[in-house]
Amino acid sequence: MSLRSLLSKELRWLRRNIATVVLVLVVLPAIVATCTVAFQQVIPRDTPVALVPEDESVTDDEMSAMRGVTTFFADPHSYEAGERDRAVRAMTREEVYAVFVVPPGLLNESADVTVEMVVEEEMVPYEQPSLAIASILRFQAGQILPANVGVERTAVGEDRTLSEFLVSIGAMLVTMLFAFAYVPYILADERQVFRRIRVESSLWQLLASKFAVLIPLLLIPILTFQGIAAYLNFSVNLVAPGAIAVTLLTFVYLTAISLGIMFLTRFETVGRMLNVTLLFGSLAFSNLVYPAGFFSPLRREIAKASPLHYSMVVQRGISLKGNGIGMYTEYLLGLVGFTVLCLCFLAGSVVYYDRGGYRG
Amino acid sequence: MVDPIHLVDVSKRYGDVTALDSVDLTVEPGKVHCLVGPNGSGKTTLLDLLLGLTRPTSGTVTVPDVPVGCSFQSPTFYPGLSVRENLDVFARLSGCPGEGWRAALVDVFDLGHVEDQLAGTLSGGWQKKLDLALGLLKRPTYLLLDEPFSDLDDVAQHRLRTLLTDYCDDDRTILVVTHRVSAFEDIVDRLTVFESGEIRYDGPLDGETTAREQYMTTLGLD
Repeated sequence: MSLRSLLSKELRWLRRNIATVVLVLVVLPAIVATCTVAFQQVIPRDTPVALVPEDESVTDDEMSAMRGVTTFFADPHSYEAGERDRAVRAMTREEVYAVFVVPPGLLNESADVTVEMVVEEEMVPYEQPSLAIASILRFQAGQILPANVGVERTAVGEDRTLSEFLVSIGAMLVTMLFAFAYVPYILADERQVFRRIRVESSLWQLLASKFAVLIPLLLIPILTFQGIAAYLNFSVNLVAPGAIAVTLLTFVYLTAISLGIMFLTRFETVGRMLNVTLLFGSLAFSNLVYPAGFFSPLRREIAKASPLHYSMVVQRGISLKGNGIGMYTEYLLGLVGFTVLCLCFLAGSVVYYDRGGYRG
Repeated sequence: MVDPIHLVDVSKRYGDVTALDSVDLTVEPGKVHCLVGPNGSGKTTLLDLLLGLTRPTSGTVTVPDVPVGCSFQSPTFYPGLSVRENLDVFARLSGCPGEGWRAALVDVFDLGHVEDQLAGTLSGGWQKKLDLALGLLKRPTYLLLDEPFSDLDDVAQHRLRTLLTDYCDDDRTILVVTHRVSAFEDIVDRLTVFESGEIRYDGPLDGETTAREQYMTTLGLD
């Protein structure tokens, strides 16, 4: 009898929490299942690469031929002759992941030509694929192009291990976890005091104090990562001012999003689930580890639309590649703009929460 | 002399539910004013309007610019801080007039025994006492109390009743919201009876009729 009573209670619970239950049991699985379409192949076939004519004598036909060959394993972007530096700069900013310098004579049967393939040492996950791509290019060019084509692979930058590469990503992952899981949890835990805070002060002051404490607190995991990296003799500088700035900026916009969701959903379970979904979604689609273009062109486009992707590019560029912050000015301006938008979203959600009154 | 609180033709609706319907009410300073009514009659909504926690759908709410303190039906404090830390935080936030007043509140509510306990681990009665102490910390001119005696034992009720009697003077006003008027009979100056979001009775107690009698008569329960 008691089992039947408890079962009926469970059914009532299901009915009362139908929104969360549908989100967890229907919407989430549907999203995850649908998202698999963004993972189409293991070999990187859609990574953006730059094609730069070696000099003015390279013809449009030769560029087209090279474009045709590279389409088998990449997403080629053509540059003008003399734009090698611009292409390399684009590679440093992860707009492209390799630069192919196209020599003249590709369509000349009697010519022996060498295509130079420039890649970055620091982009560790692209190292093995780039070796494979050089071999594929050698094979494809031999099959398709009249000239006898060789490929010379040039690695620029400093040699880095996979561990060093992952340390900079780890710092970003902790930032995401902090913003999407921990901060909403601690605010939800204090929810019962909100009414008194609204009388004695305001939710704005409450949020300001939270940000004022949590932002410096985030320095602790960054310093911990740096300490471990130093102990392991890794060449990573997570405490470079630019790297810290972009990590903290990332924390601010992610936290603004997660708290905005919590206020909009009135701190219900559905809000926490949405934040967890966003956390995993951001992890899967922001290309934090692999270059954009791995797995599918769709995933590349999603990553290019994700602010988190640019946060990672800037943080990695400064902490791992040792670049100056000036290299990423446009990205940073975009991130600052996005942060302002996220803070506006948070403000709107607080106003919504404030005006809703007490319905407990 | 402090200005009174005025509500003029105030209505509050949550979707299809009307919590308050065209309410006109004045809370005079220097009185103990009791808002009484059955559960769901709109009392707590009115308190929220006075505290600025929600806005009227229509009408005007005027609260003078003086310190307003409150104790809520459900306790509102930081559960992860101790009693002492909660008192410290809100004394600083709301502006406690002095250490003496804070010590007096700790004494009245007997909070000395539990000052180092986490507030979230206190039993219901202690949580209520802490909430009342937090509401009184800034020695407010208008003190708004929602079911202040709920969960309190007899000794605590007696002490609070004494405090409230002494607290009220020309400049200090107490607005008590409750569904059990009998607990306040000996200290109430004015009674407002709510039912279904409307005022059924509003007037002073003349000394011949008790608050409870007036309440029961108004609702036709005598």
